[in-house]
Amino acid sequence: MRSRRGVLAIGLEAALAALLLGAAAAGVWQLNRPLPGATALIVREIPEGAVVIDARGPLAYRQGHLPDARRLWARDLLSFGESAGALAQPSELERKVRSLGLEPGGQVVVYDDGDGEEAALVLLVLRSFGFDARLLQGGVTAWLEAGSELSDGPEPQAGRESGPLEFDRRLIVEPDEAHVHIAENEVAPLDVRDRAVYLAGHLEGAVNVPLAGLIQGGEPPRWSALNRVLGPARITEDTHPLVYGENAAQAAMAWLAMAAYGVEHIHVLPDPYPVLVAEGFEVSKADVPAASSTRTSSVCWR
Amino acid sequence: MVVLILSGLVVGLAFGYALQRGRFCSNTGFRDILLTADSTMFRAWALAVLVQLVGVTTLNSLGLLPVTVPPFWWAANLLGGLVFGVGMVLAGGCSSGTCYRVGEGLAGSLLALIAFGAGLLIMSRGALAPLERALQGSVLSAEGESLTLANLLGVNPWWVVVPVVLAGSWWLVRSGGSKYRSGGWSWQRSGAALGVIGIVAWLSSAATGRVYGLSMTGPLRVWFEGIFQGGLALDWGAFLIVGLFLGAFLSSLSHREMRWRVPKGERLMQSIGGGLLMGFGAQLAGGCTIGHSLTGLSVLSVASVVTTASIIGGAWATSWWMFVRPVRQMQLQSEPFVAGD
Amino acid sequence: MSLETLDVRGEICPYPLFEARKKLEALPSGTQLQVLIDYPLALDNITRWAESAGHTVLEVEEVGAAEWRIVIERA
Repeated sequence: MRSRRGVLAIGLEAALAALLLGAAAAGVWQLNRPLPGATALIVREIPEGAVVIDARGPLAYRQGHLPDARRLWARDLLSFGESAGALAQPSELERKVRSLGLEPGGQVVVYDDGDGEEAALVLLVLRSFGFDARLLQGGVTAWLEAGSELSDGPEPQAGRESGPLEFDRRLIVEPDEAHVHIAENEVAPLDVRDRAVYLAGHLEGAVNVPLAGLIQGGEPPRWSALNRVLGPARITEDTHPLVYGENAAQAAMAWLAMAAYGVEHIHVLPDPYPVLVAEGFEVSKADVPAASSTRTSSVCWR
Repeated sequence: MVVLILSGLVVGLAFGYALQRGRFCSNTGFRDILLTADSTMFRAWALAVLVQLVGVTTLNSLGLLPVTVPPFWWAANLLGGLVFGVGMVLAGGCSSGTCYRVGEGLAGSLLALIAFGAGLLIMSRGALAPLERALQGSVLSAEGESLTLANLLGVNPWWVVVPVVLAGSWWLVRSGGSKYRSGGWSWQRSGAALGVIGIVAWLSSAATGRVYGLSMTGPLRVWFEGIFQGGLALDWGAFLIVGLFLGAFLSSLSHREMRWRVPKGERLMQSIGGGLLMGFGAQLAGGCTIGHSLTGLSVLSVASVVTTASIIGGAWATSWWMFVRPVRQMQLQSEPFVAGD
Repeated sequence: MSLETLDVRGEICPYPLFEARKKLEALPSGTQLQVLIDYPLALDNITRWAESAGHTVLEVEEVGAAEWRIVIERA
C-alpha cells in the first residue's frame, strides 16, 4: 500500500476539515439564534414605567386584566362599513390612540389573551404613530402561568389626550398607495395565507409566504422555522415586502414575524383579501415561484 | 450572500475531495456485489448512510436542525429509480461518481454529465414532462406529512434508527479492511468522511433556507436550466456543485491522478445514453444516489428506500445482462466436453 | 511463462475489470497477463478480484500520472 500524501495533501485536508467544522458551527448557530429583531418588538416582562395596553374586548377586560392596563380593543380599530374588516381611516385611528393619553417617547406594552392576534394589530397601529410599543409574549396566559394575578378594577382614566400624532404612511398602506407601489415595482407583494387558499386566488404577482400558520400561539417562531418560509422566498434585509392576508390581524402578525426576523422595510396592507378583490386589485391563480427571481438569496445576518 | 457562497462551496469542496479520494461510487458499490461478490464500496456507502442517520436524527431530536422528507411518489420513485439504475451502469458511474470523475479529467464522464443535464431538462420541462406530472401526482403520505419509516410504523424515529445502526455496524465491523493499492482512502475513512460531510451539509444548507442535505439532482438542474434557459437562481446547492468539481479537481491534481482521458467511440455513445437515462430517472424519482440513497435515507424517507431499492434493481439487472451473462457463457463454452461413458 | 498484454486505458468503469477478467480466465494456467489501466478504482478492483479468485498479483507499477501496469499470473 503506497501512500502519496505529500505535504500539500495533508495541508488541504486539514484546511477542509477546519472549514467544515466552521460551516457546521455557523449552521447550528444560524439555525438556532434568537431572532435579530425580536428584542425590539417582543418582551417577556413589563419594563418599569411602561404603559400597559389591553388589546382585548370590554368583556374580557372586566373579567380580569393586568394591573393599570388601559384598553384599546383591536376590533375598535377596524371599520365595519362598506369594506368590512378593513382598518379604520388614519384620522379615526389617530383619534382613538390619542384618547389613550400616551406620552411620546414612553414605553408601551401591548398584550392579549396570548395568541397574539389582537395584540399584533394594536401594536402595528401604535408603531405606525411612532410609539415605542412592544408585545408581551404569551399575554394573559403567560401572566397567569408566571403566578401573577389579574386585577378587576375599573379602567384608569386617561389624564390628558396626547397631542397630534403623525401617521407613518409607509408602514400601513392604503389600497391606492399599494396600487402605485406594486405598479412601480417598488415592493414585493407577499400573500401570507396558507398555500391552498393562495392557489385559489391571490393578488397578481404575489409570492406565497405562508406565515399565517407559523405565528400562532403568541410565541415568536424559531429562526429556522421562519427562514424555512422566508428563505426560499428570497426575503432579505433589502426586500421591501408588501404583506397582506385574510384579514388585518393576520397581516399584522405576519408583519411582526418578519420584523422580528430582521426585515426592515415592511409595508402592511391590512385590508382583508375579499376587500382587496372588491377594490379592483388584479387577481391571479398562477403560482408565482420565488425562484423566478435571479437575485441570490441571503440570510438576515446580523 | 457571503455566507451562502462560503458554506455551499466549502461543503462542496470537502465533498468532491472525499469522493475522489475514496473513489466513491454507488454504482460500483451496488454493481460489484453482483459482478465480483465484492462489497467494499458498498460498505463505504453503508457507513456513510449510518453516520449521517445518527447525526441527523440526533440534531433533529435536539431541536437544532429542521428536516424535510422527500414526498413518496410511489410510481415515480419506482420507475425513476429503475431507469436511473440502468443508466448509471451504462454510463459507468452514478451522478456523484460522474461529477468527481469530471474533476479527474475523464471526458466520458463529462459527456455523461451533459447528457444527464439534458435528461433532467427533458423530463422536467421537455417532451417527458407530462409523464413526470402524471407519475408524481400520486403521493402516499401520513396525514399530510411525508412518509418516513418512523411515521409509517407510528413510532419515534429512534425506534428505527437504533436497530438499523446496530445491525449495520455489526455487519460492517465483521467485514475486514481491504488493500488499497491505488493510494486512495479505505472504505472506513471515506464512509465516515462522507457521513460527516452529509451532516454538515444539512446544517449548512438549512441555515440558508434550503432544508435538505447533499443532493445532485436539484443543484445540477439549477445550473443546466440557468445555462440553457436563462435565469440562474444561485442557491446553496448551486455552490455545492461548484465546490464538488473544484474539490475533486484539487484532490486528483494534488495526488497526480488528474489526466484528460477519452474513451473509444462506442463507449462514448454508451456514456451519453447512460447519462440521458440517469437524467430521466433522477428527475422522475426526485433524486439520485446522493439525494435519495444518501441524504434521504438519513431521514428515513420511504420514498428514498423505494427509490434506492429500485436503483439497485435496475443496476443489477443491467449489470447481469452486460457483465455477468457474457462471462458465464464464456465459462460454459470453455468447459471441456466430456464424452459420455 | 508467456506474457500477454491487455491495454484498457481510456475504458470506463467497469470495463477494465470486465475485460481483464475475461482475458485472464481464457488464458492457460501459469500465463502472466500485463494489464495497463489509467483508472484508480480499477487498480483496486482488479487486484482485489484477482487475489480473491486465487490468482497472483506479481507486480503493480505506476507508470505515469494515474497510469498503472499490473502483472497477474493466472492460477
